Amino acid sequence: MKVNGTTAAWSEGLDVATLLRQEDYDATRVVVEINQQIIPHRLFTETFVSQEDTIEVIRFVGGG
Amino acid sequence: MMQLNINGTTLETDFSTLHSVRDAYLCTHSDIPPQNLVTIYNGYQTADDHPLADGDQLNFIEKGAFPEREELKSMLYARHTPHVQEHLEHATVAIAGLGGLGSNIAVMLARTGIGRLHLIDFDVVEPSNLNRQQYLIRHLGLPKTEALRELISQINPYCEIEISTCRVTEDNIETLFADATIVCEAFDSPEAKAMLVTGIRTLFPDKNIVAASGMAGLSDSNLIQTRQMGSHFYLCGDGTSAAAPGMGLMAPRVTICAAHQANKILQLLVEPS
Repeated sequence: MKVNGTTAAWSEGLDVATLLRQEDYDATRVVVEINQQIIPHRLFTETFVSQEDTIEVIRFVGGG
Repeated sequence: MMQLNINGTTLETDFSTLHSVRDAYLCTHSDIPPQNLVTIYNGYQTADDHPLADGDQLNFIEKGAFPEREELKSMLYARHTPHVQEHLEHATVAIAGLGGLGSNIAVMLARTGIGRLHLIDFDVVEPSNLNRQQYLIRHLGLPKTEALRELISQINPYCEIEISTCRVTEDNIETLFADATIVCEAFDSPEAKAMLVTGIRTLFPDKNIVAASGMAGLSDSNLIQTRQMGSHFYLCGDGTSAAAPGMGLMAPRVTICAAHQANKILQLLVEPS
């Protein structure tokens, strides 16, 4: 499993919400794509990642 | 014979040089002192003579005079690269958030001749906005949507403005952004940014969205960049400089980031891939 181009620890049954916690992201401030497919925030806890997945996490910071 | 566009009107002419056309213009406008006439040739202000070609765009503008309404539009765009404006006049850009990013982006796009802007914000203008946003003292207390519409009408009266004075939520993204050619994310809050980008990319995967992240503080200007993050998704900013206690938002970096967003939007409209 790759997160932003770097290999990350994968375990059976890993969902997006847990992955984000594990990688120290605030789930409300990110856009997540798995294999170029966007994942809506409400599906983070029920979307599971597989070992072959390529995951992009784009983090937003405040200000505008 | 060739066709020239002079102050927005297409004319057949035998004149083959810029100065011969300018001299003829001065003959027919004998009230204009020659030293007050500005000549713009294909987007470039010049006093030199140039050979002319079919389709050239010329503007002759009297300094200090108020032009006729039909001439004003051509004069507004006289310094553009020729034909840029034609790509913009049928486009609608929806701008979500009218703060330091959105108010600056809206004004830049209006100056460039975007046909239609959809301005979206729930908030009113207050004094702490004036350090980086386009508003004026006279706008304090007005909804940002109404204040910006008034300001743009004084810059480019040909830019059509639609306003929505409301909060953007997951539930209204589909209706609010249906009319947009391009969506511009210009919120302050990181949660709102992530919500809108996710919503647009889910509901309208073929619409371009240009978003921003990281422009607080006084770090190096050149850290602010435009990056493509996926198909139809562009992100401007330095990616890390968050607004936070001790880390404020000041006009220069916020405006630099706004200009990155505005220029990417123009590129996408003028040079669609």
